[in-house]
Amino acid sequence: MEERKIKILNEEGMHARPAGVFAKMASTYQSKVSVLFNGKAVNGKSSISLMTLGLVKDSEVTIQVDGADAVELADKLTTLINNKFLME
Amino acid sequence: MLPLQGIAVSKGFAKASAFWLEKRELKSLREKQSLIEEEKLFLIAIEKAKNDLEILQQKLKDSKSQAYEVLNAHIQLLEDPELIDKTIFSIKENNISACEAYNESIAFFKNMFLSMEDDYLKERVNDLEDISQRVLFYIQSPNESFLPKVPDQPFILFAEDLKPSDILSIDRNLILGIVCEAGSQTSHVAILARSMEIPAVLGVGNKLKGIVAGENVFLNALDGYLFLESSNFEIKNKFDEQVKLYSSQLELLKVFKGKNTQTACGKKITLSANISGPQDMASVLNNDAEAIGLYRTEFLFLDRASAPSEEEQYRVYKQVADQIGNKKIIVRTVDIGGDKETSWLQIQKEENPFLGLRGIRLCLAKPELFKAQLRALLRAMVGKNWGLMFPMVSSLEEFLEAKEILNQVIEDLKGKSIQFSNEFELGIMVEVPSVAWMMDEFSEHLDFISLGTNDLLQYTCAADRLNLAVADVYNYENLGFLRLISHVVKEAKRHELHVGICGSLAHKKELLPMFISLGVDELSMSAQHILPTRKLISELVI
Repeated sequence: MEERKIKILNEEGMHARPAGVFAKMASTYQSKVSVLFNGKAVNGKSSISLMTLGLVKDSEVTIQVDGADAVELADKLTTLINNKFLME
Repeated sequence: MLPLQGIAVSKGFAKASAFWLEKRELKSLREKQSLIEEEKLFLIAIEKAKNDLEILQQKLKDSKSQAYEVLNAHIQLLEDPELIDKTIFSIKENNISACEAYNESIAFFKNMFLSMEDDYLKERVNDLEDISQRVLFYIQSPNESFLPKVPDQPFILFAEDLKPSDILSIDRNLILGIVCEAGSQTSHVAILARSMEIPAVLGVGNKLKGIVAGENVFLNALDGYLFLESSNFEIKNKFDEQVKLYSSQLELLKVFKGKNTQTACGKKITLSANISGPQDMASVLNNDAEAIGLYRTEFLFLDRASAPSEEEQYRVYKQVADQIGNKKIIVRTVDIGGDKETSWLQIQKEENPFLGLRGIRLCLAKPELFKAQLRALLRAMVGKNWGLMFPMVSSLEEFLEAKEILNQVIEDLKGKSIQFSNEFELGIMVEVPSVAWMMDEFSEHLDFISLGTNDLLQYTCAADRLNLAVADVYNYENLGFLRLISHVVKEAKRHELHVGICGSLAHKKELLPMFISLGVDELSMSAQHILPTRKLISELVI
């Protein structure tokens, strides 16, 4: 299992668009994704659950990825957060 | 039945059957099936709902609507694995129907959002309600369609109220006219109807309910009324004459296409078009606008789930720039707030949104939003003859703060060696009375001003322009208002500023002599008013 601790950098935090982009990317991979924050863990492939974490700018989250393509996905998700969820 | 009176917001005539666009209502609960059957019904309902949204999206793709993004977000919510798994789990574990289970899951997330501190996330409840209505409908009635069944033959679109996306989701060629119980001259539907050149009468009130779907309706969107074909033979004859007269007038106006705009004495003035995006460009060219006097950029920011990115904005502005050729264009930075609400902005509910955080005030409060727009504009307008103006300015300090941000953005672009336009004229909208008395102070910083008469009138007379109860107070003939306009134009001209008028008074027949005598340089209006106004001006002996 891959585990990463990352800080949310974008101004709006985990709003609809960032949550959507994150979940969409997670869904294209086999591995299971959990996002942990404040003692709560949610399914990283569910944008609605991600929003309920109430992540704001500077929140520190832990991402756990488990499965065959875990390393690649963990890298991608980390880059996504560091790029403030921008995908062109 | 007497003709029903409303407000003519987009000129023209139509004769067709009425089609009511209505909200679908849920049928009563059907009997519970086996667990497997309930699960199947649920999954089929999700697929059907998704299919609906994709069909809508496909239609919106061609009209480049902002509603497209909202639909994207809704499709993702529909397919959300937690929402689906939770529902299926409930069906099995609690032995309940798909409807009950889905309702429970939706309620679970709704409560979660409602308990959050973030106002933006609280509003996601609306998205959940939106998708759940559709899914619940399909669980109940898997063999019916939630999409409005639109007739194959052209019709007049009837509704209590419409969103721009409602109109965009129907084939343009099928809509011969639009009639709504609600709405006014300045509502979004009015603006959209004008730019799509669909005859429209709004604000008819609830008497409209008297007209039943399928009845043949005669719509006069020149004088703003409608009646049934079966109602009165005499009016019907008159209607045909009116249509004939109107189309012959339209023909006559073609004479004015390609001509200069000038009075009978040879005094010239520029007639420009107001646009809201690339979709209006065809009408700008058809109606022979000499320039674009007002590009309302806010339409890109409405009806969507999140702010448009700099890249998205750049692409849209570039489309406009590519189509305008060497005509001049004045772009107004985003004017949201007030009547133009957007949930993603997280603006606190305001008692008086028209007096609240809107226009340049909002941009100064959210500098990142403002900067992204400025960057996108500066990049898109390379090589263009263009002007940039700020809306809702009420003090010099505010303007200077905005200009400082603009300068920062320019310096930033220079540093990154990104191609952008550094040659443009800078101006402000004059729509707040305080600014009207400060032309002396403002003039050294400006190249031009543009009078936004809709807001200037509502602020000068303290009359909400959307409130029908004070419609007679919102009166452009108010002497104080006319004096204010006269003062601003004279002062601005004394300082050699270019003066434009871009509100809906720009094409008011009664005011044209005053505007021209005062020396106004440019009148900007919906494209469909340009040729009629050119004709009116040609008859003035000034």
